[in-house]
Amino acid sequence: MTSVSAAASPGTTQPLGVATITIGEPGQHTSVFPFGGSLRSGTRYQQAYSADNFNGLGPILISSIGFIDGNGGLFGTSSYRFGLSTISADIDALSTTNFDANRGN
Amino acid sequence: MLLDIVISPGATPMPTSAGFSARSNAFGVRVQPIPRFGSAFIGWGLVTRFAYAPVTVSNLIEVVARSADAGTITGTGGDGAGATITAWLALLSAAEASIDRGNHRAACAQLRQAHALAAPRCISPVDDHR
Repeated sequence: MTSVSAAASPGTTQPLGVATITIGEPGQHTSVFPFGGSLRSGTRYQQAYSADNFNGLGPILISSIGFIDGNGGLFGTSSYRFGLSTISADIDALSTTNFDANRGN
Repeated sequence: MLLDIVISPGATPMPTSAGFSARSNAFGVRVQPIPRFGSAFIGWGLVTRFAYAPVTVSNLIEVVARSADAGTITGTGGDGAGATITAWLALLSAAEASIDRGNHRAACAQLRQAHALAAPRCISPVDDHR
């Protein structure tokens, strides 16, 4: 499920963050992967989003990314690196072993 | 689009692990866990919220300026790195001014220069200055 909201920001000259899109349906389950549980250290996690989720938006600049309905748990002290890239491969065809090869431009 | 998260080794276990809303792949998310966790997690993804804005030159300038201020992008060339960022922003600003004046040919040339400065190995933008 994808939901889009045009977040109103009247009176501001801030050009970014004018709208949000939520991919997925909140309230189903809570997952501590990849930030917690027994998986917290030395983890690499990739999540692919179908282009269908962005239909009709045209070219966009993503200014922030967030995960929702947190359980109040704490993050371990470590370095967390986030990367976004556009890929042309089918999201079901991504490698489960060669993560570098999955990355796009 | 691919989200790639790397958590460096050495994270300290916390008494309560951070968790977020997630659900199955019905909405088109695929998760690729590292192999040692097996396949049990494939198909589960974090519900994700993106804030976005249309691609405009002014938005691009904002992104570059913010990122430079935050240190998340840096120029190359050692001592000249700061000057590279400054030059990049100057070209983007010049392109914006050209657009405002209706001089699309100049704007395209300036954006191409900016692109060449920032990402010479990327695909070149379309040369469309109608």
